[in-house]
Amino acid sequence: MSLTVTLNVFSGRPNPVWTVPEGAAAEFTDRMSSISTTSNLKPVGVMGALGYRGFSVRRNEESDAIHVHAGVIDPGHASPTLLATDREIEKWLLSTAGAHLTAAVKTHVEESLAGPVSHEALRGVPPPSRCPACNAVDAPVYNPAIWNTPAVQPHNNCYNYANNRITNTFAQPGRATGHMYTQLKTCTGVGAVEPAAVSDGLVASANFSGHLAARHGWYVALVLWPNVDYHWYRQDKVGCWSHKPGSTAARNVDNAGHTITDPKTANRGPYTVFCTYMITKASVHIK
Amino acid sequence: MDVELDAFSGRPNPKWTLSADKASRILKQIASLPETNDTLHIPDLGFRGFVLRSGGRSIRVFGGLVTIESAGVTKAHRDTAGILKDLTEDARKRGFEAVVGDSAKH
Repeated sequence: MSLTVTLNVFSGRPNPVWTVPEGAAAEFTDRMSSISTTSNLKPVGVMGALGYRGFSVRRNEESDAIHVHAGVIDPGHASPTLLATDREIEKWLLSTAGAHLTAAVKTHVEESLAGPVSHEALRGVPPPSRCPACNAVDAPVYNPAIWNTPAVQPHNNCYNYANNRITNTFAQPGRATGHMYTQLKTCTGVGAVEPAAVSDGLVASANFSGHLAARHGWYVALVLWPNVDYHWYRQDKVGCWSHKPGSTAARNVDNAGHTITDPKTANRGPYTVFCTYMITKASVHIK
Repeated sequence: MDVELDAFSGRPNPKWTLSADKASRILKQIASLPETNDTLHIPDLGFRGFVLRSGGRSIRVFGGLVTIESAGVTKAHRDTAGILKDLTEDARKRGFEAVVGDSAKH
């Protein structure tokens, strides 16, 4: 299948459009497939005012456009955003333009592509310096690509993610150990989620500042949407927190698109009750 | 046709099956919705709309839009038929008032 490529560069005139033949189109797919870093964040819009603003690529007239700019490749809302480490895919798209661009336009785009990638179009990309200290040696690395695949994402929830354990069972607190929660009204007490998690091997913690040596686990946090649902976060190696809302993609921002430095103060939507921090580790039992 | 209320994180999302008449009516409504270039923005936590599955298509109803994903291609349509409101009423009748809240206003 051929590709239709639009170079977003003009303001008054129509943007240049050209077709990439089928053989070369396969290379575009290969180049996209080779990018392993993904994000659930979406570009907030076309960045840049005048001049080069990226490429829009369509597989056919009816398909969504794939937007490529500054190392951010957005295949549409149904797929994670790809984050390239260089501008090679844009340089390749430029190379397919042939005689569709004047020398002046081509030079302008080449000069733009000499700059580094920029993910500023995404909301909430966390500057690492803003994250709190991570005091757990075993804290997992934030790597959403492991979780955001068709084989894993739909079958693993926030509890799986916080415990860094893929079970494909949509794990429920207490189910593995015969003490599954029976109520979502309170954090503690008979039938609550916290004791169910304790049954699985997690331990409550007043904060996430204590040092946890190797094999002593990492910090997670439990919150409640009273009478409706529960949710978990985990602190990653970088110090900021991430989560996986149900069957949706794992991510490292809150409901407002902000970096999560502390789930207690994050925008949690309807999960208004902060229950507790807890410590989990590789030996807990979840199902 | 099955309906999934996409809202939960820890618990599995609620699902139910529409009657044949209602499913047929909604699919006809969807077929006549105007297309749009608007982008669907789904919150991380909380009510994320309804997902219908029909004939290999995944249809999400939320935020004034109906998006249809088929074979990796997604198209957005304006929900001019009030499908969100209709499904929200269904959810309320099934006891999910606290989940959908005033979602039909979104």
